[in-house]
This record gives sequence, structure tokens and C-alpha cells, in this order.
Amino acid sequence: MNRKPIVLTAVIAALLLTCGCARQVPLSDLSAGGAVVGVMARTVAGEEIRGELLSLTQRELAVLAHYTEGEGIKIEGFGDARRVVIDGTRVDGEVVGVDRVDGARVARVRRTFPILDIDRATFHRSRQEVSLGAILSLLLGPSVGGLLALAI
Amino acid sequence: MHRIAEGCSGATAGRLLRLGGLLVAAALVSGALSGCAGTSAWQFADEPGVPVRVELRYGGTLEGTLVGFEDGALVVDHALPKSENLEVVRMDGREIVYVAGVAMGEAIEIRDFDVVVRERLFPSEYDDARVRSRAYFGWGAAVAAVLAFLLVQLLEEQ
Repeated sequence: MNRKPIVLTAVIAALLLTCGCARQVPLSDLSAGGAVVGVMARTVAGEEIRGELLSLTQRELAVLAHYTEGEGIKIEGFGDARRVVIDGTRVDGEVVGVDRVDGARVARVRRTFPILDIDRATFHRSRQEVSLGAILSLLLGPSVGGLLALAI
Repeated sequence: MHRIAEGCSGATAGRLLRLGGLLVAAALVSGALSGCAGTSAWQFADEPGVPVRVELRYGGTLEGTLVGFEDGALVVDHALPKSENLEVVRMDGREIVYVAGVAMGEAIEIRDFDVVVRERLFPSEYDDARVRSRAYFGWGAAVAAVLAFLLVQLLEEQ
């Protein structure tokens, strides 16, 4: 049986699948586009925020802020009544979920800030995307080239 | 008597099987490794920088790395090729890049053929900004593919 068409088909399919993962997502609506971008921001009032960037427009910055329980941070309540309290002050926003990471409870809170309230912010790629990208590039490139050489 | 399919000897079939086995093993390893990534609450790289494409209001396009947001402006690092029009001037302890007499931003890195400039883009200067995500198969992988192709061809000829 001639395996060349099968190998070529597999190579082209692998390339399409990999390249098809790439996308360009507008900064104004990251969550809808499936892009995962981290944000570390500081407000004019001095509040530090870390989490996932949902959107950045000319009017506001929307984030899914992460709060790890401990050292003045408490996650209280159940279900829809969940809230994050920092040093006795409730954090504004909707608690989307509470996960357990490395033994600690981490609350994800959807928060929106007027853009004028943001002093500065930095944006970060997903750690998983960075590591996966390096691994896939290292493995996929030589694999595709080698398979094509065998098939042709 | 068995007929061996034209163009497919036992040696080639053996090579394909070995290569297939290696690919499966590599897929398992990469899947395991990628599963290990991002297991802490902060699931993002410590260094800032996200690939971005910005549609400028005056009609151009800027591709670079979105580093952050400061004083109401996006902070984007991008490379400008060295040319006669490009000049780097040291002012107040910073290196400012000028192109045709217009200040573009601060020089972050001066390389052999280009200069990485950190530019601030205010909302009035751009129409749209898009983050590029999951672009796994980049130029590095393409170069590796070409090299592997040539290497395997060379080994087969020998």
C-alpha cells in the first residue's frame, strides 16, 4: 500500500490544526475571543489587582481578579452570596468561582474599573501557552519536515 | 508470492513505524508537560508582553508586543529597521528614537539591523488593537521543518 498520500494528508492536517489554533482577538473583548491574557494593575488609589484581563476599552478595564485566601483576605458566604473581604472591606464585583490551588482557596471576582482609575498595568501571556508553544515548535517543526522528506 | 507495493519497501515501512512511535511518545510527553504548566494561582508568565497588532488611525499597522498600560496609553514594544532616517538621541538618561525628525519612543534594545522601540499609543492614535494568541507554529518551527527535511533527504540518499 502506498503510504505517501496518508503521510502527506496527516502532515497537512497537523499543520492546519496547529495553525488554525492561532487567532487575533480584539482587546475590547478578550473573553469572547478565547484569548487568555494576564494583567497586573494598580489603581490610582493604590489597590493592586492580579488576574485575567477580560477587556480593555477607552472607557474601562474589566478583569477577573484573583484573590488567594489568607493574610487579611477572606472568602465568605456560599453560592450567590459569596464575597471577598480584605481587612474588613468587601471587594466590589461578582464572585464567579472559588477554586482550590496548592491547598489554598482562590476566588475569581469579575471587576470593572473606569480607565481613569487605572494608574498602570502590565499584560502577561498564559504560562501554559508559553510552555506549550515552545514544546510544540520544538517537536512539530522537525516532525513535519522529516515526514515530508519520507513521503516525497 | 507476495508483491511488495511499489515505492514502499520493508525498510521504509519500518522507518515510518518508528517515526510514528516517536511522534506518539512526543505527543504524550508534550501533553504531560503542558499539563504541568500553570498550576499556581498566577497562571501567567512573570515577564510582561503579549503579541499584538494595532490598526493605527492614520492607516498604518503596528505589530509588536503589548507590554502594559500607562497614563492612559497602550505601551507597545516594536522593532524599527535601521535606516538613514532613524536616529537615537540620548536625553535625560534615556535613549529616544527619532524617525525623520519625529520622536517615536524610547529605545529598549539596539540590535544590528533594527532598534526595539517602546511606544505609547493613546486612544486617539489607533482604531483597533488585537492580541495574537495560540500561534504555536512560528518561524522557528518552519525553519526547523526545512532543516529536518533536508537532513532526512540527505540521510536517505546515503
